[in-house]
Amino acid sequence: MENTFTSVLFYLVPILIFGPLFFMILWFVGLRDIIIVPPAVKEQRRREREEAGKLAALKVRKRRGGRFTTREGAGLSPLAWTGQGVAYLLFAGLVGYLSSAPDYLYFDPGDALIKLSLSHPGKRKVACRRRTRKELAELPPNMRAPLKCPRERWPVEIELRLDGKVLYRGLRKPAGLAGDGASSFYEKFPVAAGVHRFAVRLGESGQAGGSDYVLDEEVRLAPSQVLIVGFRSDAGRLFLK
Amino acid sequence: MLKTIRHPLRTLLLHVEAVFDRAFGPHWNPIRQLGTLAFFLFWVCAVSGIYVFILFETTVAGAFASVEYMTREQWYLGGIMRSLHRYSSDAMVVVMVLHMGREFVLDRYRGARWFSWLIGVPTIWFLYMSGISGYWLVWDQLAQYVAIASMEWLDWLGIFGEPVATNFLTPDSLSDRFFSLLVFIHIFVPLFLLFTMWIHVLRVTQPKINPPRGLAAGTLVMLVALSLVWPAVSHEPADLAVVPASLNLDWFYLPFYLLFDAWGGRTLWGLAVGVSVLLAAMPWLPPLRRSKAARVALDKCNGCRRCFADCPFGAITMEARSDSLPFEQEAVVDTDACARCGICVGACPVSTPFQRAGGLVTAIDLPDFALGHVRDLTERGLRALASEPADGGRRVMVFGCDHGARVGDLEQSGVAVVSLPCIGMLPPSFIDYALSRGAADGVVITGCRDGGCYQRFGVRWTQERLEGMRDPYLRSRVPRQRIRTLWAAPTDAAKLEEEVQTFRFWLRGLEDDHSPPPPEAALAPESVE
Repeated sequence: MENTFTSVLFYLVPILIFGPLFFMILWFVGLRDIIIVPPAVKEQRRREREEAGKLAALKVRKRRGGRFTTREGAGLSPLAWTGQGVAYLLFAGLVGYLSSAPDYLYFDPGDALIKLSLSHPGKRKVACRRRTRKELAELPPNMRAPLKCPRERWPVEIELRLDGKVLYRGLRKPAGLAGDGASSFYEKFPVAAGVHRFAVRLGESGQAGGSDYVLDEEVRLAPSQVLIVGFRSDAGRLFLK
Repeated sequence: MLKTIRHPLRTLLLHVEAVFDRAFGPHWNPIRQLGTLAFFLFWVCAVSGIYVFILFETTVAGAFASVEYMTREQWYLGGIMRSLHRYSSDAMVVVMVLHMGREFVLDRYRGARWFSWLIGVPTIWFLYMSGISGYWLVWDQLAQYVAIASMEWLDWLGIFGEPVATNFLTPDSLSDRFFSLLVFIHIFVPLFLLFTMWIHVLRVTQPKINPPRGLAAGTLVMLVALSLVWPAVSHEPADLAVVPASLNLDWFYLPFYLLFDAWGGRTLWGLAVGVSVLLAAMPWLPPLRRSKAARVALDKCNGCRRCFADCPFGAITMEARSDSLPFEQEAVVDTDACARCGICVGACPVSTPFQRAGGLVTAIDLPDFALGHVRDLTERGLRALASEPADGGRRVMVFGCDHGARVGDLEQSGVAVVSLPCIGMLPPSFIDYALSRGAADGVVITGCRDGGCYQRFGVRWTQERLEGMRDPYLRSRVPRQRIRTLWAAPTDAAKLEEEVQTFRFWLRGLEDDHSPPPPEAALAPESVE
């Protein structure tokens, strides 16, 4: 019951928020003209209706008189119907086939995929320090945090070695305009399935070749397996999964 | 350069249209109903989608199972609905691409049509977003591939703090809420799609959004039959711990993913944005048309509203009188919406060539191709006919249009021609004028193929005017047997010439032995008797 209620809420709330917005856009783009029809359009519609009625009446009259000839009333030949059938068949064949064929070999089934995916903030460029009494006194009472922490962080560097060879080495800047966010990595590497030795190094202190965190592990990769190389922030270590 | 590309394509298109005309007839011809078919397919997709949504479970564990249930257990209804949903959306891509291609080939995207063309660009985006978001919902291996690739493509933009593709790292990184969000997207994006489709036809007078019933029935039967014979099925269920190797891609919606795999996000973004901008800019790319829009001569306009009723692009509005003449309204031309077709000129009751005093001035006219000029051309043709000895056939005046079969090539001894921007520009009184001068024994009216009028209503209005169903009428004194309407595309020029010659010789026979009129011309599905 609660699930149903939350599901309904889930749909209802956005509809209530975006519905009026959507309606307003529609209104200004043209809905206004549909609901409050301008007199000129009303007149045009009236005239169109009148003309359609007049035309229909004339068609009936002329058909009765046998003088009005159009293809609309004439039947199509059996050959034409066959042609239609062929056209529908070809179209259906095209749609049916291309909706699921030909196959696309996206990934070699004998390979495994390594995904390097982690988001980790580098160390602060300038370490936090305690504010002096004087500094604290100069701040408004609600902003008197004892520590002053400059926001900017170092980029994070990662090196991933597979069986002793460098598979990836990269440096990522921290996110955010102030450079105070996490550095994110998302890379994919297809490798042959089998046993591999992984060596991962993560530097967060802004020193080239720094290795604040390391991981060295042997893993057996099955064909088509996805292996994640990541960083567990709660445990403070790199991991393979 | 555009003309060089367009010319062979137009020839090909017109030949294909002619083949379809034979099978479907001009009114059911799907090539001329691509826009209406797109609307129809949208409704099929929407109705089938509603049914599929009823059975669909918006949870990670239940999504795939619920789709499998409809496909396998309830194949007789749920399965058909799922397949209809798939195939109608695929067919929509086909008709959309053909529709866009046809309008380009026929040069029907510039001038007054720029708005519809421009709105078509976001419509393409919304269609693709609708289709691709639908593939996610199945949550099979294809959905997994599409979801991850889409997120990686978005990540290239660098607008997210963390890569959004990381949401698809492991099976436990997904929540049921994600599927609720997907359903939400898959419902709202098609609504936006419908909205843009509506705006697409907003500026079109009397837009056709429903295909003829026969064509709609045929399309629906085809889709149902396809769903029964070749039901849509899923891949293996998604497993984020495993990479799907082989995929049965939907090549209508997903071919761009191959490009993404091959070229990466930057190139695909460049391609997508570049193509969109190019498409959006096309109405303003050279060669530009610079002829002047229709102009109203207020002293002649009595506010009769005929131009207003006949304008195919809604470029004329009736407004309160701005002068002292004793009429309620006057016609006002929106120069941006005016297609320079001259249909308003043909609709105007003042447009008669019999005026003599002070030259031919009509209430609404094209400054660059005035009705007075049309009368001059007609008189020149009539003088030529009068001075030439007939070569065994009778003398014929041909009024044609610049977008149908080229009438210039018909000019020879016994045949004079006048080509107009649209045959709808010709007031019926010109036929009376040509025949009453005594120089022409017959008049041929020719324009675009029936149902394929470049200016939308030129052929239809002309027929109705000649048949006495629409103002201005052809006077009753005009002998109908001396008039032929032959609707012909540029590729039908040889047939048109043959029909004109046949008509000339028939006219001679008319005076010799009063034989019955010839059967309807092959090119004229709706010839005037």
